[in-house]
Amino acid sequence: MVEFQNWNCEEDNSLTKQKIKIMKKYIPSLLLLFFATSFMAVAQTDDLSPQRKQAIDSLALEKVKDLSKYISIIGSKETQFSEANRVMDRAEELFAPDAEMGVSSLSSNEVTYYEVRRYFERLMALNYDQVDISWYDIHYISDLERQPDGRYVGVVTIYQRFEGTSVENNLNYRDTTKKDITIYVEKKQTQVAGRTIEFWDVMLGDIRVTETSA
Amino acid sequence: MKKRSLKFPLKRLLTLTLFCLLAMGACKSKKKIVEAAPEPAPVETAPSEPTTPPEPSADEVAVSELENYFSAIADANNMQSANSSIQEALAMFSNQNTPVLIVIHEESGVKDYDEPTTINNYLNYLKDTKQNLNFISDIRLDEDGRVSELELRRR
Repeated sequence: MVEFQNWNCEEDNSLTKQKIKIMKKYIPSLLLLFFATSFMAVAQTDDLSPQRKQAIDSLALEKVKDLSKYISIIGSKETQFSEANRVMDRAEELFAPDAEMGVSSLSSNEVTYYEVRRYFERLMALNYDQVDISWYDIHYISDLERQPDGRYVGVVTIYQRFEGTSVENNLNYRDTTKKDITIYVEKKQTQVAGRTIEFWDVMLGDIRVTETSA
Repeated sequence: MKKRSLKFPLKRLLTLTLFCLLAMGACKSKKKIVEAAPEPAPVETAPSEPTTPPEPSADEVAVSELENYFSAIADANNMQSANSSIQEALAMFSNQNTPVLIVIHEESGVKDYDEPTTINNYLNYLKDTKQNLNFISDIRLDEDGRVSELELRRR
């Protein structure tokens, strides 16, 4: 049997207790450090890299340009009724529910707001023989910024040139309107062929008239 | 001396663990050296006859045809011509609701998508906007050789 002549049990126990005491002292600090690191990691996932942010900015701007083309098709008298209705459906999908479109005229200082579907229907039924609508100088006046609810919100300005011609009445109306469009961008999920796909959902909000000129 | 060694069993254990790890590392590196042994010298072969280029795969053929349809629809001079190309293109798909994914950005292997759409809507989108901004980055065919999924990317 081996004898441990100089071994002092009490001394060893006190050393172990000391170690436990030191560990207990640092455990809260370590836990705090762990949670802080985890929180930072989660927070970082919300920060988009400049390239990623630019891709989302471009995507949102592209949706506004799409709308300008849809409006031009809906307004054009050359567009067949069924085709105009199909395009109206696509255009309506670009908007957030309850979004409104402002309409102004040179003959009045008032701006009337219509629900987007109603606006498209009125646009299609305008009493002209020829209608030309074009949007230009489409740009952000307020960059997409992250909101506390996680959505990105920005404002895009466009200039709309409207020209309506009626041959019978020899009526020719044209104006230029400056409009501000609120843009909402949100990350969403959907199922595609059994897979979950995360995508950036761009929704257009109210379109407000800010200026009307000849 | 004995007292000292018994007082620090943890230290002894750590030393032993370190030694084991080093030994394992040495074994691993040896294995690598064995794996990286020089390849045998190339054997000279008789000059072969010029080979014909490999036949394009079904995927490649479908991508090429679809890219042509996309351009034809976006560049169509009138609605009839665009609609005709749309009908021809749709015949290549499993159905009109075949999903189309559009990648707007990719970073560190993470893809950012636009809202998924269907092939019918996408072809009409090309007709309406008269722009063909995306190229085909991935394609899936079903058992009948029809397109069952399409992934596009911004040019």
